[in-house]
Amino acid sequence: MEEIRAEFSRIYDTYNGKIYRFIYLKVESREVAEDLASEVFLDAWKAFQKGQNPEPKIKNVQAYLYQIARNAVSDHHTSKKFKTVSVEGHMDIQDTGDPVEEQAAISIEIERVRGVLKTLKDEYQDLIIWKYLDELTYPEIAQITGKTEDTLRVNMHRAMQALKGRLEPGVTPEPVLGT
Amino acid sequence: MREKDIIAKFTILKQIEPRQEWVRLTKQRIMGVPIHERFGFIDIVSYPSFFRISNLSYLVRKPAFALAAFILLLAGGVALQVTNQKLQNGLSLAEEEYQDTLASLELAQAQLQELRVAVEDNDTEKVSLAVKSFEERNAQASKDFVKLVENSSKKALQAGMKLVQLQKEKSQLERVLGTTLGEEKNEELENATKTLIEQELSDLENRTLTEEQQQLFAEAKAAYDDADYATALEKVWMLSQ
Repeated sequence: MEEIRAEFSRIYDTYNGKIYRFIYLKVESREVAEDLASEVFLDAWKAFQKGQNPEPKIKNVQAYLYQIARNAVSDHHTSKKFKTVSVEGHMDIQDTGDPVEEQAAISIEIERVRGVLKTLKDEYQDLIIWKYLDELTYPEIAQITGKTEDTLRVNMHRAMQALKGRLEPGVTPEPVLGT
Repeated sequence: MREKDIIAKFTILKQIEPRQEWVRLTKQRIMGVPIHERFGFIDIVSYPSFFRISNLSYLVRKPAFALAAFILLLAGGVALQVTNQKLQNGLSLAEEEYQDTLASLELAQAQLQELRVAVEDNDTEKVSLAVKSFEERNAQASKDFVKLVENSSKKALQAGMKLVQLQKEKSQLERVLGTTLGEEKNEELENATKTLIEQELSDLENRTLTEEQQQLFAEAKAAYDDADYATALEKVWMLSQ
């Protein structure tokens, strides 16, 4: 049991930041992101405990975590129970040691880019997060999504086309961007 | 805008991070913390069922085990002595934590004073440095206080009062600066303060209070009900004097 605990502890330490960020970029507030990320790791822990004997059931932990995170976000968006949660402007960013004014400017820029990202359809959002924030390779993304690498490359190209011009300073993101 | 520029824009999102308290608490909640990790010396979870008192009746039916039983009882006595010693060590640990918290609070207080002077002098370079130092020290003081409440609430009231004073002065300076110093809301700290007040109010409820004390108690309770924990703690502290 201690070995399982230690192994999952390592998994948690490695992925909690990525999974939290993945969810945070798709929901309305820090609180919701924390709730959903907690659910993801709780589910993963239960599955991890069940699957340990006689051999590990979860072959690719990273892909598994992202899959349940996607489901959690999807359930959240379709569920009514979270719809009354207030939107909070506060954001957690790395302490870069910059002065307060610079930190504030970074927060504003992050919020703007996050807003632009959210105008894309979910599939494109996921691709950009995995490829450019989490720095996953196309084969790794293919393991999560079940799509071929070629399809992923085409989708990434489309996502980039859709984004052109939308990240210029001063441009307000439009609510919906198509395919 | 070229693809390269778009990608560069998105990399700013890498700076998004979860709160460290959330990371720690979620891990604890999900995986649980073994008892020995929490108390350091009593491992109740791994205590074998063989040593349970109910099993001793078995020895009456099997006299051949009497010597073994005697040895076990003797070992138990020794273990109890060791545990008592460790409990005493635990108490001195509480005192140590209390002193640590007071030291952290004093450091934070001194840094706040330094920041105030830098603001008055309009020295932007010093302000930036002092803000960062104060945020670190204030976070440390809050962390130490939370730990103190968890492990030794009796010692926490005095430290809590100092912390409330520090937060008041911090708020005053935030109004001058027009910005927030550190986290806008520290839930862990708020929960610890709430717990401390609840314990103190519960203690006070069982005591005989003078008319003046009853008034203070009512004010503390009202502030607690309004989630104004700083005022509630202040009133409770006044009652304890």
